Amino acid sequence: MKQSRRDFLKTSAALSAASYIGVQLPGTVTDVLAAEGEAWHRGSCRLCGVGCRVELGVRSGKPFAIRGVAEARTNRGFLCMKGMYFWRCIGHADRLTHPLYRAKKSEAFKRISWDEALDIAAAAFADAVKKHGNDAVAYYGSGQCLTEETYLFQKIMRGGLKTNNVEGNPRLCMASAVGGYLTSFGADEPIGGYSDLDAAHCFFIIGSNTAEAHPVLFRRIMRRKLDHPDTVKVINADPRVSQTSRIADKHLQFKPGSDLSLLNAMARVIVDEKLYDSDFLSNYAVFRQGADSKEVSFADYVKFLEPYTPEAAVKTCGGNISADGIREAARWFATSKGTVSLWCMGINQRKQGVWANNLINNLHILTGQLCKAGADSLSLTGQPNACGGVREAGGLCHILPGHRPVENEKMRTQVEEAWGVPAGRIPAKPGLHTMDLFTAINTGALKAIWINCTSPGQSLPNCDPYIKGMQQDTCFIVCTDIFPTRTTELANLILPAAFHFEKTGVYGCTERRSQLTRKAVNAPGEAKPEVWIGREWAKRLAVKLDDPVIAHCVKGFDKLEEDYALPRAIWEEYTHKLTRGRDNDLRGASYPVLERMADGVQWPSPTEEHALTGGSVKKFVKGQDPLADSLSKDDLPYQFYGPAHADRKLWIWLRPQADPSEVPDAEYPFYLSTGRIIDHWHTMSMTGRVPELLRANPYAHVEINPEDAKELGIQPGDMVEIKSRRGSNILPAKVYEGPMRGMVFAYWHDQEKSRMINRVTKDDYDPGSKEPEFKICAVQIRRVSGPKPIEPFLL
Amino acid sequence: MSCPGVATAPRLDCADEVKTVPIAGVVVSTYRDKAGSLEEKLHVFPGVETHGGDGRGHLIAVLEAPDREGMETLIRRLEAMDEVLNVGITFLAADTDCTDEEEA
Repeated sequence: MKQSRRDFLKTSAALSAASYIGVQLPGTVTDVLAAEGEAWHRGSCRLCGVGCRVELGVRSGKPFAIRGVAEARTNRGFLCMKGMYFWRCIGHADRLTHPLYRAKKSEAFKRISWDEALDIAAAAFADAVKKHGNDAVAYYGSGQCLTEETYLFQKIMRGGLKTNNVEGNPRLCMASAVGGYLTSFGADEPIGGYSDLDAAHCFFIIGSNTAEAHPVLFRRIMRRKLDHPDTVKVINADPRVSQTSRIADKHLQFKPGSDLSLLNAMARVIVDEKLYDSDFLSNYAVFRQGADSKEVSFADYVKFLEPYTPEAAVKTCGGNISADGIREAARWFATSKGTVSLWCMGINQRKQGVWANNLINNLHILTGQLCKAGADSLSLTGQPNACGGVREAGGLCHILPGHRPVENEKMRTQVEEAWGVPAGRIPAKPGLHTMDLFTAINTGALKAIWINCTSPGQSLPNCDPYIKGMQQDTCFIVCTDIFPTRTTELANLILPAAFHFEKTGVYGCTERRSQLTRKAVNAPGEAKPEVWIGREWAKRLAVKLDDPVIAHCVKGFDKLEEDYALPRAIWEEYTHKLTRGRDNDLRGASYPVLERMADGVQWPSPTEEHALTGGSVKKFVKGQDPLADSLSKDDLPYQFYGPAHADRKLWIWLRPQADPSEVPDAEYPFYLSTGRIIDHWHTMSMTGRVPELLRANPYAHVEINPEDAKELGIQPGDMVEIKSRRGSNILPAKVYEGPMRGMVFAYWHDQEKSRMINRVTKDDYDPGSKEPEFKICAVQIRRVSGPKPIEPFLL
Repeated sequence: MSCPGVATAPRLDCADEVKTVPIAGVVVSTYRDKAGSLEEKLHVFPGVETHGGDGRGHLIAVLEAPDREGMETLIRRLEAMDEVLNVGITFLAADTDCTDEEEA
């Protein structure tokens, strides 16, 4: 029977959609597509941290279609608009395809060979080390790098160049969640995961516009609510009413920076009304306070909560919430059969980010809303491999692979022995965290930096001084990327990297899940996988510094082809040598196992047998987590063996309300907060190159509450200046009841200089996590003119 | 300082400048009690082909548009419908070769 190609694709489309909702239509997707002889390559989405599984359709070496993987537990086949289009970056005309170099930043770039490029990069780092010491160089990576890439680069820096100056952009988004998990639960990363969304009876979404930043998970939450409209409650707590609020039973609109009061008030209601879980508390929890983590009593905690009455919180939170609203939210949270909290940058990007994380975790410990189906304290991740690569594989200045603190001598020794490098090779002192790293560029102390797959020239808070610093010739900047960015324009050396599906490697998403993406198409021009770039660079560094230990760091990977054998060897070294005996044990998640699994493996997964079941859905639960069984100390069903809590307890913290770094005053009377929009991702270097996404939101705007707009004489579309003590933007106004009065909200993706909102934000940071407070600063708002035509802008 | 060959002008074109005919598979979500009326509306919606649903408020649809911009507009028009809670995309082909004459 003859079938036109259009009919064929339409049948495929219908079958795909039907399979995701369990409806049978005649035929199967596999049958239809197999008949075409087209190859479908399984992998993960390139963008946010949800970890949606996709299949890329390739014909004649070129991608032509994408579909979700129906059996994947991450996304059940669904994709968002961004996920549907990221593959357009493959083969895009703007791709960087050849190494580019200039000795001075005032010069024009010229095309050079890879041989020259690697020599120049090695010489720059070697010279910096010889003249200024090992800490004069740094690596700044990304939650978008593959785990193999992060692991390899940090190994070269630490084992080879003897510096802990290894950082990554997750410092800007996830560090407070890390701090929260470590100090509350004794171990980084969530106990549960997405499966809890399908069993939850209460969702507490705070500081997250899930609908736009994580739309596939939001869809799942929405479905749960719509299927159980009377028994499932959704609480949305946020200073801004967003798309997420539309399914909420209750919106708690608190003033920016008053979240600690709100969370303590909810805890007080739970305590006052005896809604806590006494058994859970007595078996698993202790109360702690202060910088020395002093243990205190439940009575001390009750006393600490005394000032946080719902009525007092209403005042602190700005008056848009009622005391009864707080009480009802606390009751829903505590008494539901399962409560899942979800949060993102609204909580993490705060000067009290770790404390805010602790207070969310407190509510779960108090009420025993952990370790059971439908209950979890689930931090949402913004990037596809912030968890798997940077948090787990040693991508920050204070951690070594396998969740090992740098400062711990025993941990350093384990890593040195695993690598076969001399004892003492890894310095005891943590390296510079992100803000100190870029400050060191400003002062001239840092002489060479490798920036991999990220754009600090746009994404750093208060970015102008740091851009100026990077413009100096005192620091040699290497950038590996796929497109020109606000940071490649500050580089000396630009190295073209292979994109997703043009190379092989693992991403680890929000829920401790590692998933493999194999190469499906060739990279354009001379673009290369970063693992090849790192290996070849290290070999030359070893020669220039006459240091065989550097060569030894990559010796086991020498001569392996870069598309599969090389990343596989790196993954095997990392998982077998560095995760053995650690809470993120991934030894069972070998490449062959990951290739067999539709949706990868959740750690801990010490054996292939366990990995082939999908791994550990719940950490710390006997019968589900093999480490909970093997490390069990008593008869209790939950074993909190996390490396940071020797007492194996969950810690409830006494954390008081504290103001953000900057609050509005007479001169700067408005709060500014920033965030994502559904069509764009981060600095839009990728999504801005997809016309469907760009057209939907071609430029940033500022959201203003209608009452504030009326007072300021601002009409929709008017051009408005947002000015802080650091810088200003001019953006068109969107007037609607999103932000509360006294607050404006702007998107941060726009690359055009007058619309780059990080020129306005503040670079003060959480003293614990070192994560900057992007979410709150004080600004002036002023109408500049009526509407003006605005062009989208991309470098 | 920009990179060589990098335009600073706005750019709206994607890499594949060859004309493509997009076809999408979607699940349109609505309230359970509105699924019937929504399916009737979708049935006569230009560019939309319906394939039933699951009785829980999920409807299967295939979308077809003459070009990418048309597909984008179609999805956003569906999303803007009062009854529609979500348009979940599950398949998207942007093929360069979709003539009726070609045989599979």
